[in-house]
This record gives sequence, structure tokens and C-alpha cells, in this order.
Amino acid sequence: MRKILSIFLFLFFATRAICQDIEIDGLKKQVNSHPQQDTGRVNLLNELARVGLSADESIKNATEALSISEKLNYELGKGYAFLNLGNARISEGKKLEAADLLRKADSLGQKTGDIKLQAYVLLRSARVLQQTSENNEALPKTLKAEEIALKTGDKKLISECQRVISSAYQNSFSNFPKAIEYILKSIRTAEEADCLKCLAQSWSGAAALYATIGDQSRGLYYYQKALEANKKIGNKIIEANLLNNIGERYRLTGRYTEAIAAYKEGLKEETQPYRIELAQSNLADVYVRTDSLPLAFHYGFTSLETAKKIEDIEGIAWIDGILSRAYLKKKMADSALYYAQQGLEAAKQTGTIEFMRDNAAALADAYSFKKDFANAYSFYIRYINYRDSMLNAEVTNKSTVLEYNYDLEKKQGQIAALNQQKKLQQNFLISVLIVLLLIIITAIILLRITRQKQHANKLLIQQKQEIEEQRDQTNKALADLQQTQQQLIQSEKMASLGELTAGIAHEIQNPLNFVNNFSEVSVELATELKESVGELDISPDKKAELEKITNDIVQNQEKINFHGKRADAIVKGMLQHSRTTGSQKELTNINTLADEYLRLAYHGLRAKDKSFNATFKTDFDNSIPDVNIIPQEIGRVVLNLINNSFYSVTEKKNTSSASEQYEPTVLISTRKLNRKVEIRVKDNGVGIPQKVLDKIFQPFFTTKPVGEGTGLGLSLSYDIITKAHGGELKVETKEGQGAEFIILLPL
Amino acid sequence: MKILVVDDEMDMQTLFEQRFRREIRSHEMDFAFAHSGEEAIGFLNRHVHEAVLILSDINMPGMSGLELLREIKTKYENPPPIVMMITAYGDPENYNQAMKLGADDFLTKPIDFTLLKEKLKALH
Repeated sequence: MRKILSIFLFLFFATRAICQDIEIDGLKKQVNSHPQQDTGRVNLLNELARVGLSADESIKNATEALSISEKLNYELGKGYAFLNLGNARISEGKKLEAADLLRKADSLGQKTGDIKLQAYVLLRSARVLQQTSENNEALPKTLKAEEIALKTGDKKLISECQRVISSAYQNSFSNFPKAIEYILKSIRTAEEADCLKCLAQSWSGAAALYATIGDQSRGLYYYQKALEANKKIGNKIIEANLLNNIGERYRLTGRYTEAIAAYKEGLKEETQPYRIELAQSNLADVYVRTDSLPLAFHYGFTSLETAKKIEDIEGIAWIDGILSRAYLKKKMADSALYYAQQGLEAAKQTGTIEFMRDNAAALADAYSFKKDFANAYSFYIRYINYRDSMLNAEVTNKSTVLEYNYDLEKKQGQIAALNQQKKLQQNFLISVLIVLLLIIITAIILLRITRQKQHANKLLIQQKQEIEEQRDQTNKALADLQQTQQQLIQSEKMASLGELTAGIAHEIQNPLNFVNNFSEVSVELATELKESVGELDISPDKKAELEKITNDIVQNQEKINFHGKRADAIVKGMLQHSRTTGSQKELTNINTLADEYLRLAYHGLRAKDKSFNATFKTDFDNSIPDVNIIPQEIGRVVLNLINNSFYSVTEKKNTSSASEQYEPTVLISTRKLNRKVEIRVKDNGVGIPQKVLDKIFQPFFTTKPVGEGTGLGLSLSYDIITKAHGGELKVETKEGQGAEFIILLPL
Repeated sequence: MKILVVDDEMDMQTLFEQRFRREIRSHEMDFAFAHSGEEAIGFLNRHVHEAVLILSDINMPGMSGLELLREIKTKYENPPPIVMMITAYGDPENYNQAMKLGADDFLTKPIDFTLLKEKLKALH
């Protein structure tokens, strides 16, 4: 079997691939569309030289970049040009030249301080060292390259560094765990860089690494991923190479049908003789193993021819072994012996133990078939020796991998434990958060409840205030109502009293009429009787006596008539209570009316009593509009009140001593109030005692001596004001200082 | 002149007789008295065309003065006697009704006999 395609070689081919790919196409177009001899073109040329497919092309581009850079004195351009030229020399195997170019690039990298360039120089220098088998020195350079690359933050570069570190660990120290660690890092960085080409290279690296340590399934997995990526990139050479490797994995795991398919598919695109030979020889091996001997011979001889043509000694050793096994299966022991011996010689030339072992085994089998047991035994011993030395290496590899896997498992266990712990911590954290959240929610709810309560409280207080206000209003309304009711009762009392008075008066009037009429007619009759007595012829004494009696009768009848008339006057006054509603209301000027009745009262009193004298004043509000009233009735009230006042001031004047300066005054004033008209009659007379104040509006209540007042004046006035006009009649008084009657009429 | 006085007050007769004693003595006036409306109707039926003047109270138990007035004015046409209404209530309602029913005059109590006497003499 051939495992010569180490990761290093693979990388070499991948970067040297002649085939075109999309990235390179793009760069070429850019270079062509940018013919100006400037730094832009230098950069494009250098980039193309770096990713370039063939060494020639790289050299051509890098040389142009170098010449333009020198003209422009563009140091960085020169640096990259040297780097790329050096890289091309590595590919050509011109290590000394390469080392020289890289030193130039390095000095420019240090001079310009361009760390990216420095990282690349380190990477390429490592490659030189790997090629000169100074692997031990290559590793530190690659590690340094990564360190610098990390500073640039260029993920593609970092990924490449890690890939090279992986290969250095593998090749220099067979430190597979480290190699795996770095190739996985490289994959991760490539993913981060979102660079499919980088990923494909890293996947390929990982696949080769796993294949080397014998983990065929992982190798297969990564090769397939790399294949998928490469199909997208469009690099057919790499694709063919990958297919060949996939075929290898199938072959080595005994999945021959799939192996054949993969090899054949790879062959389709393959143009390089070496790899055609490789694929064909591998096919031959599979066919031998599946006993398809004609096909095995066909691919075996074809590949052998190629190998000889390109002088691939190792290939010859490998193919000879295959052919030997094929001939032995055909029981052609001599041919088998021939090819095995040829193979062993070739293997000895290249020093490839693997093929020495294979060919030794083939020789042992062939000799054994020929019953030449001595030779068979000798080759068998050699086979065992080769195998053991192989195995030692393999066992070492395997044991380190096992160790690595064990460590990995342990680490994964630790990771799992940590994850578990983390999960627990997370759970704890979540629980704490939930509790906190609940506390916050509770707090919010409590706050809201408190707010609502406060709000409700506020509302309640407000409502309480409103209720209190309403209660106060209601209380006031009640008080008003009670007062009104009192007034109503009073006025109702007065009214009913008035009506009663009228009724009584009416009932009294009839009999009183008879009294008056009969007394009148009796006076006449008695007078006639007296005349008749005078004509009688009787003694003078008797006559005188009769005349005296008839005179007395006349006198008595006159007295009856006089008092009857008095009663009649009272009854007439009383009857006026029932007549108050008779007249019509009309718009009247209150001031004119008051003035008129004031004068009427004054002159009326002066006419009765010449000694009567009093000052009267008026204070009229001229803004009062005409009021709708019954003028005669209001006039009568005003007259009544003025008469009372004049009477009161006269009384006081009569009782006061001469020394006292008393000026009897009566004031009548009017005033317009809100929707009301006020008439005030004020005097400075004797006033009204408090104890009789309640009775003054009652009928027949009077303070005047018998015969002077009927006690109906105020009663009647009250009736007129309240009943007929809907107004009010009030009194304000202080005993001994005067009284003031107030008439309020609605407008 | 025959005058019929209608009043439920019995004393009214005495009063009239004394007040008009001179006129009665001289047969200047002749008074008849009825104490109710019904009695007055009965008198009028018995003494057709005798009464020239009727003085009637209004407020009486049974037939009122106004009913009597209506009766007289509708039934005793040829010629209807002069009817004077006398009432204690001088209110406009009574007055208007009496006038509507054809009363010739309207007096209020207490009767001013001097005025009545003049009115009667003027008729005579």
C-alpha cells in the first residue's frame, strides 16, 4: 500500500496546482484591467504570485512586482515579491536560493515593520527547513509565524500558520495529539475567516493526519468535506487527488467497490502521470484483493510503465509487489518471484520499509509455493523484521493517539462535568432570577395595590368632602325649608285667620245690621213718641216725666246706634280680608306710589290733629323698574305703616320730657335688590316690645287705646303683601328706639 | 204700589214696617213679605200682577234669590215686576249674575233705608 502522500506533499501539490480556480481567475482579470505601473498593480501581482498555480507563473508575476516596486521604491512590494520568489524556489526545490530570497524579504519585513510579511517569511522559511529535513528548527518558526499572524488578525493567515504547525508537529516529532490540536484550530480559524479555500485545505490536512494515524473513518469524513468544498472552488487537480485519497480510505477499510468508484472518478480528471500511476496502481491492488486478476494485471502493468517512465522508484517497488501477489494468485510462482525481487530491490533503493516488507512477504509466499522452504523461511524472517519495525512505528503512533484519545475523553469528561456544573450554576442562576422576578412582580403588585389604595383613599376623602358639602347644603336647605315652612305656617295661619275673620265678620254683620237699623228706627220712633207726649193733655209733672223717659230712650237708642256703627266699622275692616284679591295688578312706579301715600298720610293726620308735626324723609332708588302690583292695596299697606310710624313718633313725643331733644322722624326708602324691590318705613318712635312682636300681624292685635285702632291694619297689610303679592313683610325694632318695617316685593 | 220683600230674616218684616210706617199709613206703599223664594212664588201666583216691586235677598235656604229672579223674569212677563236684589255679599260675581238675569237694581246690606226710600219714591 502507498501512503506517500503525506500532508506536506499534499500541501505542496495543492498550492502548486496548475489548474485554474475562481480566485485566481478573478485576480488575473484584476491584474489585466490594471496596467498602471503603481503600487496597486504591485499588490495585485504579488497576491497572484502568492496563490499562483505554477512556480513559473509565480516567478513571472513576482518579478514584475519586484521591478515596479524598485522603480517606485515601494519597499513592501519588494518584500512580498521576494517572499513569492522564494516560495517559487521552494517549489522548485532550490532551497539555498529560496533561503536567500526569504532573507531579503525578511529584512524588508523588519524594515517596513509589516508583521504580515514577517509572518509569511517565517512560514516559508519553515517550509525550507522542512525540505532540508531540519524539521526540529521548522517548528519554532511556524509557532513564531502564528504569534505574529495573531497580531495581524488576518484569519486566513492564522489558519495557514496553524495548518503548517500541525504538519511540523506531525513530521518533526510524530506528536500527533499536537498535530490534531493545531489542525482542528486551523479548521476553526478558517471557519471564522469564512474562507472556503482555507477550509478545504485544513479539512484535507485533517483528513491526511487522521489517515496517517490509521483513523480511516475520520480521514474519510474530512476528505469528503474537502472534496465537497473543492467542487465549489473548481480546482479539478485537487479534486482528483482527494478522490484518490478517498479511494485509499475505502480500500484500507475493505470497502473495495466504493474504493474502485472513487479511484476511477479521480482518474477521469487526472492529467499528471505520477498521480495517474498512483491511482492505477491502487486500483490494481484492489483488483488483486478482489481476485479480479485480468483487471489487476491491466492496471498493474499500465502503472508500472508510467512509473518506469517518470522514474518513480518507490512506485515501481509498490507496483512490483502488487504484480507479484497477482501472479502468485495465478499460481505463476516464478513470475511472482521475479516481480517480488524487482520490488524488493527498488524498495531498498528508496529505503521504504513498507515496500521491503510487502515484497519480502511476497517472496516468502512465492518460495513457499515453490516448496523452497529455506528461502521462504529466510524471507519470512525478513518480512517479520520489516513488519516489526513498521509495527513499532505504528504502535507508537497508535499508542500516542490512544493516549491522546484517552486524554481527550478525560478532557471531554471534564468538559461534561464543567458543563454539568455550568448547567447547575445556570439553573441556580435562573432560579435566582425567577425568585428575583417574583419578588419584583410582588413588589410591583404591592406597589400598585398601595397606589390603588391611596387613590381609593383620596377618592374616599374627596367623596367624604363632597358628602359633607352636600350634607351642609342639605342642612342649609333643610334650615331654609324649615324657615320657609315656619313662614308658610305663619302666613297660612294669618291667611286662615284672615278668612276666619272675614267669615266671622260676615256672620256678625247681619245681626249688627238689625241692631243698627232698629236702633236708628227706634230713635225716630222715640222722637215721634216725645212729640206725641208733648201733645198729650196730662199733668205737667207727668208730662215732664214721660218726656224725660222718652229722651233717655232716644239717648239710649243713639248710643246703641253709635256702638253698632263702631262694630260695623270693625266688621267692614274685617271684611276687607276677603276682598283683597279683587283688583287687577298693573305695572306701577313704587317710588311715586310711596311718595303719594306718604303725603296722603301726613296731610290726613294734619287734618285730624292740627298739632301733629313730624319730619318725614324719602330715599328712593331711581333704578327700580315698574313693579307689577295692585297699587291701591300696596298703597293701603304703605299708608298703614306710615300711619303707625307717625302714631309711634307722636306717642314718643308726648311721653318724652321737654329737656330731651327729640325730633320725630319717619323715613321711607326704596331699594332694588336682586330680583326684589324693598320698601322700608322707618321711624324713631317707641318701637315694639319683644314680647308682642310675634302678635303684631295677628288680627285684632293693637296697642292703641280702645276705639283708636281695630287691630286689623298690620294683619291686613300682611295679607296683602304675602298673599296677594307673594312678597314678605318683616319688622326690625328696638323697644324705645323705633321700628322699621320692610316690604319685599318680587320683581 | 205693592212691594214684595223676600228675606229669610223674619225681623226684616218688622224693620220694613217700621221704616216705612209713614208710607204704609198714608197707603203710599203697600208691603207684602215672603220668607223664602218658594213663598214669594206662591204669593205671586195668588196675587197676579199685584206686586210692582220685588226686593229679594240672595242668600236664602232653598230657592235662592237669583233663582227667584230668573223665575220671575221668565214667567211673569206682562209686564214683569221690578226686581231689586239685596245681598250681604257685594262681590262682583253675585252682581254680574243678578244683572245678567235681569235684576233692575242691586243693593248691598246693610240697607241704606234713606237711599232705598228715595229709589222707591222715584219709581212711584
